[in-house]
Order: sequence, then structure tokens, then C-alpha cells
Amino acid sequence: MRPTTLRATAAGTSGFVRGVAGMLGVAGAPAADAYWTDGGTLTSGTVATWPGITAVACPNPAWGTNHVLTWTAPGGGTATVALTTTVEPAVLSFWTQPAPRPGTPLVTTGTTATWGISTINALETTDFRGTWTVTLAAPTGTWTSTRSGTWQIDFASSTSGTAACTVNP
Amino acid sequence: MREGRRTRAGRRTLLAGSLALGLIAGGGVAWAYWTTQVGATGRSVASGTLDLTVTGASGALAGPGGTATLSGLTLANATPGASDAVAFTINNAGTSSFTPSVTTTGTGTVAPYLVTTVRYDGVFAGTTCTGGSTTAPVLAPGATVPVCVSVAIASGAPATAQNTAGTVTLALQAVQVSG
Repeated sequence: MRPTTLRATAAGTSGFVRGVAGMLGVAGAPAADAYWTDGGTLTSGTVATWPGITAVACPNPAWGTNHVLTWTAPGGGTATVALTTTVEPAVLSFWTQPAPRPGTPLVTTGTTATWGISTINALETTDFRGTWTVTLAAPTGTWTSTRSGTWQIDFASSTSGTAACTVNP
Repeated sequence: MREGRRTRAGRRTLLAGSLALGLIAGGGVAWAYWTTQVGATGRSVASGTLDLTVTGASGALAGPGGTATLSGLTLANATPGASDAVAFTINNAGTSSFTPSVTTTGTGTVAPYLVTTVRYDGVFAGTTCTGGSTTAPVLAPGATVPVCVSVAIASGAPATAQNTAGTVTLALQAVQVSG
């Protein structure tokens, strides 16, 4: 016997309809292994990682005023600001703030650090130069973010001089 | 007399010939037929439909293709190990069975540091997905399956992954199941 070819037909359909369906099948049906698909795309909201320290600024201070380092960071982190200097102030010249100083970093949850050097030495001509570093620890995990720069206070006299601060790229 | 017989005989011959010609000429009658028409009404030919839709997104994805957003899946200030999750439902709104699939792709600078999971029939647990299966079930017409998708920052993401951002794209596909 010849093998019987099975054809999917709707129960109760007439031969005419089956014929039309057959023609439609020939004309429009995909190949034997083809299939239909549908789909779409869903997009999440924004996924962003901890940005660390951003918007760091340390403008040149006016003579006689403190250096003011500022930065922006997400809440919850703790920042540590450390200073170095080429010359430590002595008795007649001194730090204006308890911290940060070399060896005494400022630990803060804020976003500002201030330091400066004053003198009562009428003959003061010392150039105080150094670096600053701010390190922020992420609230969770082990990530940290660090920015650094330089600072200087150059005395021409006890009442005049220049001050500068830079932020490293 | 002969001429008279010939005349009658000739008339008979002429009549016979005329009948013969008439038969031949009228032979078309032998080929004629009656016709009638009967309309085949009340029958229709219609194809099935394959339609994946979703519930829980900004749009249903009804009909072919479509886009929508899952605004509930988001991360901000994320550090290594941080995660978020979202749950939505895939529906078979067509007349054909299909197997759904959800393929995730990260975009933007954060993409290399993302870890995503897709759990069919999974349990949405706030920022993660639990249970369920990574293999999608076949959905019969009218059937649904809850899907839980999570995204996390890789626990070993380096410091260079800081301050990166992007999105997660979920490509949904329904492939017809024969039979």
C-alpha cells in the first residue's frame, strides 16, 4: 500500500473548504519546520553604580584665608582628608584648624575640609607647600574613591604672600 | 410516369437529407447541459494567532512586537553585590501554544559589570529572585507564567566600574509550539 499522507484538517469542513485551505497552505504556509514567533522588548530603569567623589574643588584662597576643599558624594560614605607639607609650622607659625594636618587626617561624613597656616612672625618668609588627598569609602563593599591635589602658602611677610590650591586631573 | 416517381423519390431523398443535416446541425443539443450553483456559505478559513503579552510593565506588548518599560528595575549608587529585582507576567493571548524566553542585555558603561538572572515561576523577594526555574514552560492559549528578573553589580567589579550607568534590556520571544 502506498503510505498515507496525514493532513491536518478541521473536522466537518467540506472538500471545497479543504481544497481552499490546501491552496492557501500551498500559497502561504511556511515550510514544514517553520513556526510563528512573537516578541517585544522591555527596558529597565536606570542602573547606576556608586559615583564616588565628584565635583572636587579647591580654589585659590585669598591671602589670609583658609584653604577650602569641597567635593560631592552620595550620602552614607565616610571621607578622609590627609595633608602633607614640606615644612611644618613652628611656634610662630601654626595651623589654623585642628584637622586636617599632616599625621592628623580629617575623618568626616561631610563634604568639606578646611586648613590654613597663620603666623605671628614679623619676618616670616616660609613657603609651606604640600599635597592633599581625599578618600571616600563606599557605604558598603570595598570600593573607595580618591582625589588629590596640591596646596601652598608662600609668605612674603607676616601679612602678605600668595596661596594656591590645585586639583589633580 | 418515371418523372413523377423520380420526383417523389427526390422529395424523399431531400427530406432524408434535410433530417440528417438537421441532426448534424442540431447535434449541439446532444452536448448541452444544465447548470446550477450552490454557495458554500457558513464556512470560514481562519489562521490562529500567536500573541505574547505582559502584565506588570508600562505596556502590554499586545500584537506583534512592541516595547515597554520596567521602571521598577533600577539601581542607584550601586556597589558590588547590590541588586534589584522586578516581577512581571507573560501571558499567552493567542490561540497557539508557545514557549517564551527572556534574554537580558546590559547597555551603557555599566553593562560589563552587570549580572542578571531570569526565573520563570520565580519568587520576587524585594531585591532578588528565588525559586522557580531558568527553563521556561510551554504556555497554552490563555496560560500565564510569572517571571522574576534581577540585576546586580558583580561582586568582583573593579573600581573602574564606579560612576557607570546604563539599562537592562529584556528581549521577550514566544516561539510557537507545534501540535
